Amino acid sequence: MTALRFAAALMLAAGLLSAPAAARPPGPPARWRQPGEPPSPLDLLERLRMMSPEQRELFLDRLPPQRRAKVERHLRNYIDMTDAERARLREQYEVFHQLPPEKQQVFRNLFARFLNQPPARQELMRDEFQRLRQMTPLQRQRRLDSFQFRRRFRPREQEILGRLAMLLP
Amino acid sequence: MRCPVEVGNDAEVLVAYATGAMTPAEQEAFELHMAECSACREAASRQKAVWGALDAWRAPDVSADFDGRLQMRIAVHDRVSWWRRLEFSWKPAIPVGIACAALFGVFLLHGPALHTVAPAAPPAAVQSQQDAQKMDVEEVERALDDMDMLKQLDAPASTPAGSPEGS
Repeated sequence: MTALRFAAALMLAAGLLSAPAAARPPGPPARWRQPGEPPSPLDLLERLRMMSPEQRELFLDRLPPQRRAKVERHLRNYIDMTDAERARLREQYEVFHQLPPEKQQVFRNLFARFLNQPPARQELMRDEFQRLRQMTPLQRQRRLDSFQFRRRFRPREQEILGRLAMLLP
Repeated sequence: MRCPVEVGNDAEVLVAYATGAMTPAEQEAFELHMAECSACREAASRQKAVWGALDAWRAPDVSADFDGRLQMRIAVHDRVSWWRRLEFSWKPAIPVGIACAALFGVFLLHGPALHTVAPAAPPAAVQSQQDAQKMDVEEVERALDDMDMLKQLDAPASTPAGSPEGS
């Protein structure tokens, strides 16, 4: 009888303890930042997106006019995206952001060289990069070694695309 | 001699008389007074009877093994460990401790601290302003540049894969 009472008391205590957890609203599992870990740039962008225009102005005021205009333009593009577009871009950025800083810089330099190509060639290279991105590393290497690829792109373009592809996960 | 009952020191006078603590002069004076005062005479008679009974009482003799048994009890008490004596002294505290634990449990479950895990957040405008001041503007600028770069590289593929240029 005493054991029965003890078990009942334990069950009551367990119920009381689990009640606050059950009352918690459902939601995605939170990713807790470690103490001292700086906020992700994506977090910063989201905070900036959620700010009022006045608060955003306050933030942008800290930039010199030329840089401010560029940031404002990019930020406007980011804010004006649909949720799906923004989610896709955030995914790509997370992959990019996980690269070591030196590889990120290589990627930026290659992109700068890409921008130096004529617009029509840029279009072709962009399409090719999209295809490469969807391939496995082995498929990617076969594609880069293929006759079609060498025939389609000039040596400088092949180098840019080949090195960009090497940075893909 | 004035009557001790009237003076208010009858207890001291009667005890002194019964125990023989009076001087001969005081005793003679009190006896002369008692010859005339029936109340003092009667009180002195009762007092004498009490003292006579006390004098007649004899304490019972201590048994022969009393000292031995007393020493044994002292020795046994000394051999009991300190924690046994402590345990005994803690016994009354056990129900008090259980009651305190129960109260603490109730406080944890229903106290205000559980329902306010985080301190009250500042108003949204203030928080937003603090965010704006704390955010690393250079990092945001770089992230936006990188995102713009990725966006420019993310145009949907329009040409079938593998189709050679000009073919």
